[in-house]
Order: sequence, then C-alpha cells, then structure tokens
Amino acid sequence: MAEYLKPNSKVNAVKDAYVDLDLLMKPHPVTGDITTKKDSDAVKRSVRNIVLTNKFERPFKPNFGGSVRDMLFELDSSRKKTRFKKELISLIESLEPRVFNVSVELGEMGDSNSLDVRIFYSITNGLPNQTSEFTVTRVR
Amino acid sequence: MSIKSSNINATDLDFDAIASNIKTYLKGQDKFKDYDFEGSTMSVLIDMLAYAQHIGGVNTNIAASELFLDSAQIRKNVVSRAKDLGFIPATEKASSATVSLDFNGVLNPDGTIPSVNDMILPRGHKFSSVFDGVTYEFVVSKSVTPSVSVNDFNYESVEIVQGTYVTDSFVFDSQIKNAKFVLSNARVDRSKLSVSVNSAGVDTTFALSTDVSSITSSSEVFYTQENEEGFLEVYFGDNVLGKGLKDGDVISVTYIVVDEVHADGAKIFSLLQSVNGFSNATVTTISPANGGAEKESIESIKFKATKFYTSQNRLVTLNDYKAKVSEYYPNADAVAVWGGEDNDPPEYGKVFVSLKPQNADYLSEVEKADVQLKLNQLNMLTVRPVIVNPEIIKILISSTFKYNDNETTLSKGELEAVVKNSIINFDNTNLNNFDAIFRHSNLVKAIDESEKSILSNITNIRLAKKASITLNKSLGFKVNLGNSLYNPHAGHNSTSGGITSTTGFYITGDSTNIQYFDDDGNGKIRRYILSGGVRSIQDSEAGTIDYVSGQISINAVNITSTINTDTSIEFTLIPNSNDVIAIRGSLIDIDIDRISVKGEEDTIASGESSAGVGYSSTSSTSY
Repeated sequence: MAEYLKPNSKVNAVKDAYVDLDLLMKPHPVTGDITTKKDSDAVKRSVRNIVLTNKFERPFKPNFGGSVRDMLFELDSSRKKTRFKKELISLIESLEPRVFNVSVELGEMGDSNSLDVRIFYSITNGLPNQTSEFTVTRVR
Repeated sequence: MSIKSSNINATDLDFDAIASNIKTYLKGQDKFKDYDFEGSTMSVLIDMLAYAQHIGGVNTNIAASELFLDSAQIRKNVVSRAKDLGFIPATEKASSATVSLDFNGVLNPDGTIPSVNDMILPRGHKFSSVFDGVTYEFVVSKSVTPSVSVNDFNYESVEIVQGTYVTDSFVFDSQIKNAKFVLSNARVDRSKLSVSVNSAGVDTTFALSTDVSSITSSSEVFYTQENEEGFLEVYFGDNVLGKGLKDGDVISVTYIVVDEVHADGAKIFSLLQSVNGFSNATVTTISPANGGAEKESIESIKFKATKFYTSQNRLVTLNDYKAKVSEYYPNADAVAVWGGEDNDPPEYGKVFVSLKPQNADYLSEVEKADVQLKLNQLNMLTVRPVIVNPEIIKILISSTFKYNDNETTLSKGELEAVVKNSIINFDNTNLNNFDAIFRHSNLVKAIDESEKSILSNITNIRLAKKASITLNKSLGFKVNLGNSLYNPHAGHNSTSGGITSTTGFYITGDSTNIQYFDDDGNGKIRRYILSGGVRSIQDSEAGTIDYVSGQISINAVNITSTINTDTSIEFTLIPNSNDVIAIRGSLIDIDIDRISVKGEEDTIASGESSAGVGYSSTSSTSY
C-alpha cells in the first residue's frame, strides 16, 4: 500500500485545512467549477469512501475498502456483526489519520433487505462526535 | 516545494512511483489538499491516473521490446524480425521412412497383366505402422512408377511420410494487392509442399524458391512464410522476381499435415490401400522412420537467425556449415564440422560434416544425400562437403557402490535402479553432443548423490567401438578411439590378451572356429581362437595398436561373417585415463544397455563390523 504523508497539525487548525473534490463531480451553480468538500465534510466523504469501496476495487491496493456491499446478506449472527465492526474500525483508523474514537453501529436488516451503517468518530483538531450514516440495499 | 506542471516526472513505470510523482506535483498547489489521504476522492483520481499511466508504460515497453529480435517474446514478432535477416524458420517436419514394395504374380481377373501406368503408386497412397502400441498413418510422398519383370512389379525406394495429405485450392485475383494464400492447416511440412497452377487449362508445377539470386522474371517459383497466426502462407512472383499469376488462375497446394506425435523409429509398415485392386504386397523397410521435428522454437530462431545472417547464405567458415546444416536438417541433435586438412588421414579440398539426429545414431542414406546435395549448391567451387556418420565410442560402465542400510527404506535392487537412472541422466545431460568430455569424477559424484544412503562407489570404465566389416574381401581396417590406452609396461597382460577384447568373426578357410583379436602389450594385435577355453594364437601380427594415440590398425584379413548381426566387430579396450574425450566427428556415449551396477551393504557404517574386520572393497581396475 502506498505511503501517505501525515497531516500537519498546524495546518489542520486553520479553516479550509482539508479540501477535496466531491465524488459526485457536479459543477458549482455559480462558478461552473467542480464542487469541493471542505474540512469535516471532506473527512466524512473520505470515511464513506473507505467503507463503501470494495476490496480489489482500487488498482494495486487489494485490501483497501470495507466491502460493506458484500456483507449485505452475510451478517446473520451477532458474532459476525461484531467481527465486521472491528474490521471496519481498524480499517478506518489505519487509512484515515484525521479521525479518532471511531465506533460502528450496524442496523437490523430484518425483512427490508438492507443494511444500515452508522459510523461515529471525532476529527483530530476539529469537530468531535461526527456521524456518517448510510444504508446499503440490493441493487435490483 | 512548488513544481511546475512541465516538471512532472512521467517516466516511471511502477504504479507507486507514478502515484508518488503526481502527489509531489500536487504539492505545488493549494486548491486541493487531501491528496495524501487514502480515502479522499483526490486519492481515487490519483490512483486512476497512475494506473492508466502504468498500463500505458508497460504496453509501450512491451511494444518496444517486440521490435528487437533479442527481446521479442511473441512468435509472430520473432519470425518477422528473423525475416529482416533473411531467415525463414523451419516448419514442422514429418517423420519419413523408405520402403520397397513387391507385387509378385500380378494378374487381372481376365488373366491379363496390368500395365505399368495402372500400377503406379500414387502420391498420398496410405501405409500404416504400429509403433509402441500406437497405429500411425504414413503416405507416399511422390508417385512411384514400378519396374516390371513379366508380372512382378517392384517399387524400389518409396519414400513414405507420416501424416495426412491435404489439397487447398485458391483462385488468383489481381485486384487483391500483395495476395498471399494461407493454408488451412497449421502443422504443415514445407519441404513436402507441392504447388501447381492451372492457367487457361494448362497445369504448371511451381517450385519452392530458396535462393533469390537464380530467379528470373519467368521462373516458376513460389515463396512461403509463416503468418501472424503461425499458419504457412504461399505467394508468388511479381514478374520480376519470379513469374506472376493471371486473374482466374487456379492454385492447388498439396501438402502434408504433420501428426502431433512423431513415429520416429517405426520399422514395420503395411499397405492400407490396395494398388489397382492388388494388396498382397511384400513391404520391406529400407530405412526406418526418422526425421520428425516440431516447428522451430522461438529460442532456436533467435539463435539461428543471427548465425544465418553472418553466413550470408554462403559456406565459407566452419560455422557457416554448422548454421546451414542445422537449417537443412532441423532434427539435428549435434553437428560437427572439420576441414579435410584436420582429418586423419588428411583429405584436402573436403569439408567433413558429421550429424547426429535426435532420435537415432545415424542419418539414413537418403537424408545424407539430401543434405549433401543442398550443401553442394552453396559451397565454394573447390571444396566438396562430405557427410560422414558420427563415430560413436561407447563407454561401458561398471559401478559397485556401498550403502548404509540404516539410512534408507529402499531395497538393494531398488537402490541399484536409482544408481542406474542417475548414470542414464548423466549421459543425457553431459554426453549428447560433439566435443563432449566424459568426466569420471563428475559421474562418481552423481552416483554418490543419487541417494542419501549411498556412501561411496568404485566406477570403472571401458571403451568400445565398432568397426564395420566388408565381408569376403581381404581388407585391412582401422579403429581410432582418439584416447590413450592403458599400457603400464611393455608386455602388459600379454598372456591374457592385453587390454583388447573383441566380438567374434569367421575368416575364409576356417568356418569352424570363431576368431577374436587381442593384443600382446607390445603394440601388436593378435588373432586367436578359443580351444577348450584356452587362447590359441592364429596370427601373432594381425595388426598394430598404438597405445598413445589410441589407434588400432588391422592388416588385410578376409572375414566371411561376424557374430554381430550388423557385420561389425566391436573392440573393447581399457583407456589410460578415466576421462574420455571425443575427437572430430566422434560422439561419446554411455551404453545404457550395458551398465552394470552392483550395491553392497557397508558393514562398518551399518554397525555389523568394526575396525575393518570383514570389510571388503572393490578393485579400481577390474571391470
């Protein structure tokens, strides 16, 4: 896996410390440029990217990604859920150095054929108690 | 550090290095800052860019490699690069044999004798042979007209080749520029290709062009090459280099599709189809099937193309001969060439070529004549190439090894088989070429290492060489071993035959006693018979033996028959050195049918005896 540079804590303290492209690639209504995600939004998007990416999806990084979609109908016991949560937490902590205090909550699937994922974390030198929430459902 | 966009390093091939270069470039701006975080969208884009550049770089590298003969890996590119050097890779070669065919007492149902034309053996006529339990189909390569004696029809020297005959037909269309006609089968023997063109109802046979220097605008020749899919394609001249074709000309290409398994060594053939309704033929094998070969490999093309280019299609140096002979006879296992001045005795104005096929010891006479004919067309006027059989010096091995019974689960017999196999492997690895040297200590080491329980071995060798005998003529002959022979003192072992023993033979005037040769330890060869197990010398000066040069000369003697069925006498001698070298056109080879291996349990190592009491060891000189 490629080495990444540690973020500079001094830079993090200022506004617009983190600026990233929006994955949706939509143009800004006024400027026409591609919209950006900044600070906590950028971190939130990053966490979401990590969790939703499937393994073997990123070139030359086979272990990158939480493969949540693959788990849609797999988490039928509490033991499996606990293990998956641990895996996700470990993955986020190793790939996203801007967050700490990570915890994961998995919603009941029931008969809805969906998996609710809630990720709680605090941003280093930034806002605490952030939540990233999304639902994985079958495609068709 | 800010980096200008023109300074981005885009020459790396490695994915991580490319990604790192892009990140370094991005450090030069402050609009986007998250490129260092793996989960960021920027990182996703960087990975995509790096991946695209990586794949592009690798593809470019492969493409560039394929441009050169040395680094090309794909066959079509290797063939194409070789074509630049004028080298045409060999195609598959069908195994071929020569037989003669006799139909005796042939009569039509109405009692008449069929005409010669009726009895022509057509090309493609089928024969079969069972070899190693598998049936193979052979076909006649050229139509053969029989010789007739009353109502006996005899076909001398019929060449049959293994495979199936196929004919492809094409129509020439001048609208198609640079037309090439691709044969519909992959495994085609180019040397058996036959092309005829029907132009306005007239059939003309075209010949395969091999040398462009003799071709004129009216030469009826065709060219061949291997196309990108590995199929053979045929094309014709342009009315400058060879006669061109006209619209509507029908091209018929008849060729043999080579079987995937070559039946080299097949000796017994039978007719599969009748000739003019007659099938009670006697098929006699003149030379068994041999010469089957696969398409030239990529490694071989790379090796030969440069040699071919160096020789420029002329035979001047020894290496020119080597390159050409390998081209004419792709099935060659080893080729040796030496000038007549180096021959013994010297024969000036000749170049001697010795060739060992892959699956046999000698070339057939037909193959020899074929190679010699082709060489004659290229060599210098004053030099005459001569194809000679390799002289094979057999090494007879007798090995006794000691083993520790506690170290192995194998029985003595199984250990002996293991050792024998290791000797055979040694032979296959080290002695299958001209200029080979038999290194005794290497063999001893190979035997020691063939199984962990083997402690030591005593391995003794003898040299054996056959001399072909012309029967019923009073002729002398020579046997040259090319290695010094064992003669520690004058008169060594004189009473028991010195160091020479031979197979038996009969001479004129004595059809009762089997004669043998031995030596007296003083440089004289003697002829003797065994009378009640005792040697009775018949001729004490039957020839001479030179222990230093390893040459035996037998004086004129009229031999009427030999014990060996191939009319030969085999001389077995003790060499002076355990290392044996092959000179000029000789090959040295361990006789795997006569390997003698004996295992003995080591009584000291296994704890049965101590202090050497009761321990026996093998003589290092006996055989």
